Amino acid sequence: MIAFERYTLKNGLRVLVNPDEATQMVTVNVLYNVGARDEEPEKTGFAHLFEHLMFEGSLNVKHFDKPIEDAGGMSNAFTSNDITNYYITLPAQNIETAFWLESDRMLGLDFSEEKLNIQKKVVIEEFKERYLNKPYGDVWHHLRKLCFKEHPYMWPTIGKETRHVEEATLDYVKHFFFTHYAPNNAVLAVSGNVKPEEVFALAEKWFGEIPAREVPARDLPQEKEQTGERRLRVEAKVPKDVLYMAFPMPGFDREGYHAVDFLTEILGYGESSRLFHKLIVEQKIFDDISSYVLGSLDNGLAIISGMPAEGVPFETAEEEIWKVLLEIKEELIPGDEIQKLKNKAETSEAFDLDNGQNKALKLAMFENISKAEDANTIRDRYNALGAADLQAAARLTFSREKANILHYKAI
Amino acid sequence: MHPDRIKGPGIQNTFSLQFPDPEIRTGRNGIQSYIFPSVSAETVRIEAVFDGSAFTSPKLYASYVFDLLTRGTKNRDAYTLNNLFDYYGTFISVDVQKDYASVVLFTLKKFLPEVLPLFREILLESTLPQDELGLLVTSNINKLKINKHKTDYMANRAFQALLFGEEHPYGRMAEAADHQAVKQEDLLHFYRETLLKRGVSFFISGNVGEREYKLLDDLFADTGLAPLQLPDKSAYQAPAQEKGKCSFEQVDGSVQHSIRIGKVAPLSGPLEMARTSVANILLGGYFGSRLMSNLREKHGFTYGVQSGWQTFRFTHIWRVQTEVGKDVAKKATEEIFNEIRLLQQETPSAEELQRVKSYLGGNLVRRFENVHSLATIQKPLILKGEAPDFYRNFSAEIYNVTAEQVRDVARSYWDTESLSAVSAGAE
Repeated sequence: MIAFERYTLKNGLRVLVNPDEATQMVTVNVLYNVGARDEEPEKTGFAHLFEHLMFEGSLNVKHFDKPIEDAGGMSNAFTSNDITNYYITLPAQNIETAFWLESDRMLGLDFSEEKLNIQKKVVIEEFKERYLNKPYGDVWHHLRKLCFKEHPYMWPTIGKETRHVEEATLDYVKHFFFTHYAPNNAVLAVSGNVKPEEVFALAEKWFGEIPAREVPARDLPQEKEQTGERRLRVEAKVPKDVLYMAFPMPGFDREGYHAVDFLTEILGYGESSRLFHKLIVEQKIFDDISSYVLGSLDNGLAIISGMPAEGVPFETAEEEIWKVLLEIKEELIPGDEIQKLKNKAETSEAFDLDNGQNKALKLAMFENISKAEDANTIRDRYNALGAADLQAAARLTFSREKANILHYKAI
Repeated sequence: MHPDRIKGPGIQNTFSLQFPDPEIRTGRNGIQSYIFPSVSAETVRIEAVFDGSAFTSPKLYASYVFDLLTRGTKNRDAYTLNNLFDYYGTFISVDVQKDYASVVLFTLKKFLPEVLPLFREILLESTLPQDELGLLVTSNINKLKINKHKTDYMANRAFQALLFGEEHPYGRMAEAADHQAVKQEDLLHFYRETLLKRGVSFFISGNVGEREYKLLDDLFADTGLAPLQLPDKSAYQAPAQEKGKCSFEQVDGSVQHSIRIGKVAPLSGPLEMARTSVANILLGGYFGSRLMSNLREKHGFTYGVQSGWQTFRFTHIWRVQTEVGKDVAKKATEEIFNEIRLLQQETPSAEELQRVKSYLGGNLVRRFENVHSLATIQKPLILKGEAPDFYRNFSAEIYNVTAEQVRDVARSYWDTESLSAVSAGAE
């Protein structure tokens, strides 16, 4: 449970505050409703490149990080396919510094060609470090392209290729900023040792004068229902074969999401999960296996990925997974197994909420999707699930004509 | 109401680090528990620390024993155990380091009565089953094969081995053949005759009151477990002081080089820690550091570069680490040495020094955010026998460090002749 208060500025900026006297710190989190899904197909990786530029100085602040460091704080950000999120954590008495800096970069950036060029290089090194310099680093490039034929989830946040990052222009940087970085396209969430009314006053003082901007309504191409199995084989110099099976599923806030999320946990989260127990321990078909959801806001994917044991061909490995999938479609999942998920989720959430950064982020995320109140009721949606719901979701999701299968072959 | 956007708001730039000392309880067996209580959350974290150190454990034994603890006991197989822990919303993780090994339990207060007997069972009555050992060996060899394609892994490993020597407990690294050589009977012998006999300590944080402590004490009272004994300082031999060395690890097909530069450098006491920490933050310990400004923000050589410590019970490694494009690896290495030399020649400005102190001071407060992180930070200090107020003193000393002291740290501590360098990548 995150106790919070809400206040909305005239320019549309929504402000949420979770007061917490147990900490000496405060986190100021600003979430912008823009991610890699808002990019053009020939300008991918731009939302993330832009995130880097947000640290390169704003209208009145030459160096973004210095005043934070002077105030004993730290800041960071991440970009996903759906959103871009920035946060500053600092001693609570210095909270106003965070308001100064975040509001200044929402007001306007200090654009320069030179800074853009440096950050292009940095992002290309990040591209190399995370995606090219590691075995299996490009799996998601292949898998997204296989699974998404219409929706911009077909590329990862880092972008399709380094060329797109290299080709970014200053004009486009400006255009992107004015299109998406508006107060009415953002959520400001604060968690820490603060009083809500003081935070609201700071929000008025620093963000109140930023004009609302016209933000175009998001109109993304949606995937058509998949009607036939898709397959891809990739060969790479990696030590072991890896199998991926991906199935389309509803987006985070949509009907049916929570049941599929639970199903992937039953299948492949932890050592008491079905795939782990049956296919690693009992049958020794796999050396490693897991299952999870993307958790995207638009319709996403449920994934099963595993490393077949030495000498086990992809085809056998796949068929053994299908047998486990058949079980959850045909037989009801016992009550204890469902209760187990609910209990694990309760503990995970409790540990998450021991941290102010997590609380601020969670409030901002839910406010952006629907309303922050839902952060406190999301568990109810999981707790309401019964065996019949899970069976129905399994039948809907795990079918052969909706499977996307990637064989990542070691050569 | 237009705010002053040029000057910005006023700030406070010294922070006083406040945290409670642990409550130390001695159980009926003499076992020590260090308790960091909190009533605000429902969460409970219990870490059982054993001597799985590299001084006591033959190569890989501790690592296998700890990974197998949850894989079967006299009465229950792995699946049953994991199912039970999961059913009671409990996560178990193991942490095997060069100086100790521990099993950590994360749960909610309400599940403790059901979960603690299981915790005792896996700690004391595991059978380390043969078939589970087989699965684990396969899985570990796979991970090792994959890691050997990663430049960062290869550089870390080679660096530690280069600094201590491959025979040293801190420098020893396992190969696939070492994994294959592990035998169940040897593990059982080590587990029962050495590990359990060398005792345990508990680090408990969260919503734990008298009732919860009594549950634990009752469960462990009749087990014969003794208070934890860790290796004595005499077990550790410092590597011979010599000139820095260099090595290169070939990782085929990589597009970046992983660079590690540093040395073995013991640190003692809050005063020395404060001086070296301020110097280190300034060089490479935060986003605005000299190394980040140079390698990332000026040259775009890298996504990130950091300097800092790897902490052992008897010493430290100080090092700079970065992953850079392979075409600029040589230039990046030169720039790292240039920045160190510059610090040896010129004292930092008052403004930069103050920024570093503020950052470090505020960051310490942030790291102590909740009782679980407090327990995690205090554990190694308590096990080293440091006074519980080490961090309070360290935090207070930060603000007294002078620009000359920073320069002196750079001169003595980072004498470039004494630094070793490893890089891993494709030639």
